[in-house]
This record gives sequence, structure tokens and C-alpha cells, in this order.
Amino acid sequence: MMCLWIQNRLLPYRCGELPSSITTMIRRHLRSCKHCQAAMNALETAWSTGRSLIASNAEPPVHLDRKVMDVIRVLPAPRDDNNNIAKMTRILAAVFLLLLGGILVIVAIRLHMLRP
Amino acid sequence: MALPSDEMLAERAANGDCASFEVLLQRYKSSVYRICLRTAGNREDAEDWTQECFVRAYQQLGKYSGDRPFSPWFYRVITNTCINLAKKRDSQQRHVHQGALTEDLVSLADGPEACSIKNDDIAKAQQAMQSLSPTLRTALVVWLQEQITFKELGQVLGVPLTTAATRVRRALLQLEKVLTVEEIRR
Ligand SMILES: [Zn+2]
Repeated sequence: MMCLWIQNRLLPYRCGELPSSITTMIRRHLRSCKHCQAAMNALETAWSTGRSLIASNAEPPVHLDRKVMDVIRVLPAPRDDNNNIAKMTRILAAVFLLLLGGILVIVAIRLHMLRP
Repeated sequence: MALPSDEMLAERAANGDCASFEVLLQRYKSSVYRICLRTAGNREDAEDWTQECFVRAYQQLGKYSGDRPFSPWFYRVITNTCINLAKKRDSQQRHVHQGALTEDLVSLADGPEACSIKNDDIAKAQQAMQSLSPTLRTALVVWLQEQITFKELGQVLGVPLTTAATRVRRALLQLEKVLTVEEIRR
């Protein structure tokens, strides 16, 4: 259980991103636990492989800017879009309240008329 | 004159200023393209995914508030978009564009450590990347590509630091396992 807890923190430990109390605890554990030492070594190797696979200076094709901006230019402004949704919601709520009020008035009139 | 900050440009773009968004596109396009290339595994999809990422980011700018740092918010949109696109593609086809893979990974051999990988095994390495789940693959790619801290990765993924670190650890170990290192390294 302790080993799993430690192993889940080996990367941020290695990057110096953990609070000093946890760093000290992991350092002590690593000195005495062969499983976690092996896990650390395996992680270092895997990290190196991962870096070699991902490191890249690949650049996007030159026509990508135009392609993206052609789509963006025909879209509504993001805030306008949000405002429109809010405006529509308010209008619908007002219509609903008006209808409800109207129905209540009609029911009240009917009830009044039915009285002897 | 000082260049406008990302936050300022994002605020303007949110109100429909396309020129400000174009500046953001210039600043982030290489980074987003590389994330998409590593996540998608081929150039054709990477191009489409990059476009989709920027369109989604633009559409969601209405929810962005300029008093928060732009970069973590932006990468969160990019990460979610990549995960969704990868899941969608995975469910549509468990097929990888083999022809484009080797070419893509040869171009990837720009990094100083890339020479440790034999060209013959490049397609296999990319297949190993694609064997990771979209969630693990994206976490690994963003962490390695952007060289950010786990705290920052956690902010991008919307999870605690240790969860972000666990995802990267699992991705690295799974990658190493699939690659069967002996075959790939010199
Ligand atoms: Zn242990």
C-alpha cells in the first residue's frame, strides 16, 4: 500500500514538485525499499523513451492559418452567442410567466362566475 | 510598445475581434499542432484536429474570463478536444494510417534523443503511442511536449497533481512495455 502511494508520486518527486515533508519521506523509503528503487529505475528508462518519441520541431502546414481563420470569420462572436442564448432564455421565461398569469386570471374569473 | 498579453487578446477575440484571435493562432499553432500530431499519430488527422481545436477554443471564449491566465484554460480546451476526437476516431475505426506513420516519425527525429531510435522501428513506436488510451496519451503528450510541471498539467486536465502524475507514469510504463525496448534501441 505504502509502495503504491510512493510510486504514484515518483515523477513529481523526481521533478522536485512535492512538499519537503513528502520528499523526505519518499527519499527515506527509496533507501530501504528495493521494489520502489526498481520502480524508479524503470520509470527513468520509460521517461527517456517517452522523451525521444515526443520531442519534435514539426511545424504545421503553411495553409493551416488561412484554413482556421476562414472558419473563425464566419462564426458568431463567442460572447454574442452567449448573450443571445441568455436573451432567448429570458424571453422564453417572460412568455411562460405571462401565459401562466393569463391562465390563472381565466381560472379565477371562471371560479367567480360559477359562484351562486 | 509591449505586445498585448494572451489574456487581452482572448478578451478582444471573445467580443468578435478576429484579428486578435489570429495573433493567438500564431502564438499557439506550433504547440497545438505538435500535440495533435503526437495524439493523432498522422499528419492528415493532426491538421484537421488542430483546426478543430482552434475552432472549439474560439467558440468557448465566451466562457473565458480575462482575469484568469489564458494558457491553462486554452490547453484544457485543446486537451479535451483531442481526447474527444481520439475517442471518436477509435470508436469509428481501430485503424492507423500506416503509410503516414513512418514519415511522421522520421520528421519527429528532430529531438536530440531521437537518434537513439532506429528508423525501422519508428512505425512500431508510433503504434505503441496509439495503443495508449486517449486520456493517458494526451496527458503524456502535453506534459512532455509543453515541458510543464505536474501542477500545471493538473490544471490543464482538471485533476489533482498526483492524478496527473499517475496518468503520465502509467502512460510511460505502458509505452515502454509495448515498445519492447530491446527491439527498438540500438
Ligand atoms: Zn516501496
